[in-house]
Amino acid sequence: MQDSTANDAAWLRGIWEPVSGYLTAQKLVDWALAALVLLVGLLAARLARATFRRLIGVRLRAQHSLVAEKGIFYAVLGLAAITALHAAGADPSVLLGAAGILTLALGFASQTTVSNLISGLFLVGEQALKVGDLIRVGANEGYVVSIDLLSIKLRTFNNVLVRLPNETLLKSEIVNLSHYPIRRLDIALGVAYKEDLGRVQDVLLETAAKNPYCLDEPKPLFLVTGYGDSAVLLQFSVWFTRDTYWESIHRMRQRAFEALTAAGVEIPFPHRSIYAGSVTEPFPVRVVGGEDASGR
Amino acid sequence: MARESAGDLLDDVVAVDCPADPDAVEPRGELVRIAPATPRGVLAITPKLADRPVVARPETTFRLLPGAQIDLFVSTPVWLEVGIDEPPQTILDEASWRLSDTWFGAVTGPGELCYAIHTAARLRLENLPVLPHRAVTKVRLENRAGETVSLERLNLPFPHLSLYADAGGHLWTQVVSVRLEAADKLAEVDLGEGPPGEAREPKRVAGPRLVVHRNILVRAKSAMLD
Repeated sequence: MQDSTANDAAWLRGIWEPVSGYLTAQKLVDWALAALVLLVGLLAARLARATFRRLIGVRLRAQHSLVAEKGIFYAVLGLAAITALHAAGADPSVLLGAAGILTLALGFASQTTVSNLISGLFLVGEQALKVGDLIRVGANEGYVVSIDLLSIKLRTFNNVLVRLPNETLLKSEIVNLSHYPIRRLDIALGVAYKEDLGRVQDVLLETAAKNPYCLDEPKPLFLVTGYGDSAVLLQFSVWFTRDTYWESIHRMRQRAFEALTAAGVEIPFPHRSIYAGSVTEPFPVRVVGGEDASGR
Repeated sequence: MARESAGDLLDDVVAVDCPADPDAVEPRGELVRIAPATPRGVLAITPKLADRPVVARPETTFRLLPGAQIDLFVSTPVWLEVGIDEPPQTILDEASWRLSDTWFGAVTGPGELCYAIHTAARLRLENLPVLPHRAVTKVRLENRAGETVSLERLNLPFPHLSLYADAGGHLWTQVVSVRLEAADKLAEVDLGEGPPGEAREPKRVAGPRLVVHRNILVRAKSAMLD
């Protein structure tokens, strides 16, 4: 019993002595100073970011400002962290050396992250898109809500947030639908072969003229694009500003269809005839309803 | 207040009705209810010019031979501003006739969104139907370039122009002078001090929507004719 008590005391002494040796009053002051330096550094980083945003960031493009703000924030915070470690008694030169090795190790371990980071810098430099643009990447289409160091975030039309890694974007085809101030809407349609194409053109042009959001110039375009199986294939193209484009797509197609129908222009659709062939007997057909069924 | 138009561009019947009983408004179209700052105040309807430049395209090809100096009369629909006087507040600022949009400039930009009208580009005022809801602009064109210039479209800077009413109740804008100095089709634009002499006893009813700066005139120099 006495032996076990003595062993416990020796064990506790073994732990406490190095700790008490390290936790001198001076060390505590150093660590408190380091924490203070880190706190001041955090505040200084936030202040530097806010000052940059107010003085210079407002004159830059949104994504440039965003990248620069993050760079300034982490640079100031990094300096504060090194100063804090120095205040705590650690040798920064050793730390920096270790950081070099650590960076190398992390670099190998985080190739994707670094690739995304560099891709992001290229994307920002290229200025192919900016916050607020409507873009299409693969199957995703939506408004750019943020351009970050590692990814770009889209808000799709059905209000879903899509995160696209910068590396993917750099390798993909990006279609920027709102880069230019005006856009063309192409309506493909077909009319029956018997129709007067000049009259069809007049009806469609009048439809465009009646829509105030349809631009007078550039002029609407009417093209015969081919001869289909059951219709003369046409293309009717009208211009809208990018702000009214999406609202106009549905309306313009609807009005064009209504105007052609009102003008008696036939828009044919494929008819299917069932032929049983010459060898087999014709299908037996029984008429249901009509005069026989009603008895009249 | 209910506004009604027959739908024809040259129709001069634009009825504005202010029934005392809101239930008397026929339930057609969209009903908008407005709460002013104070229940007092007098409702005022003021004609104004378009809130964007208007691009006038001659209905037929119009060529200006070297040295030609002509006056054109262009008629455009006015906007109606409905406001109250105490405190001065605008309730509504709407076109009496919604003109079609058009793009003035390259399809890839730069350019500006304007309204489009097709004008007969009358040389004589008596040939122009003077209608109460349309303002007449006198455009003085002078071709000082040494070659024939085809007038395809004319960009009228309405947001920079004032509107005047004459003794007969007809509406006029400031005179716009366009001088073609060189063959590169850049035009020098001057906005006149007031309405043309054809307007009898004119009174200014609305100032410009945008203050005219020198740089705007320089910009207009390259954008007036295309």
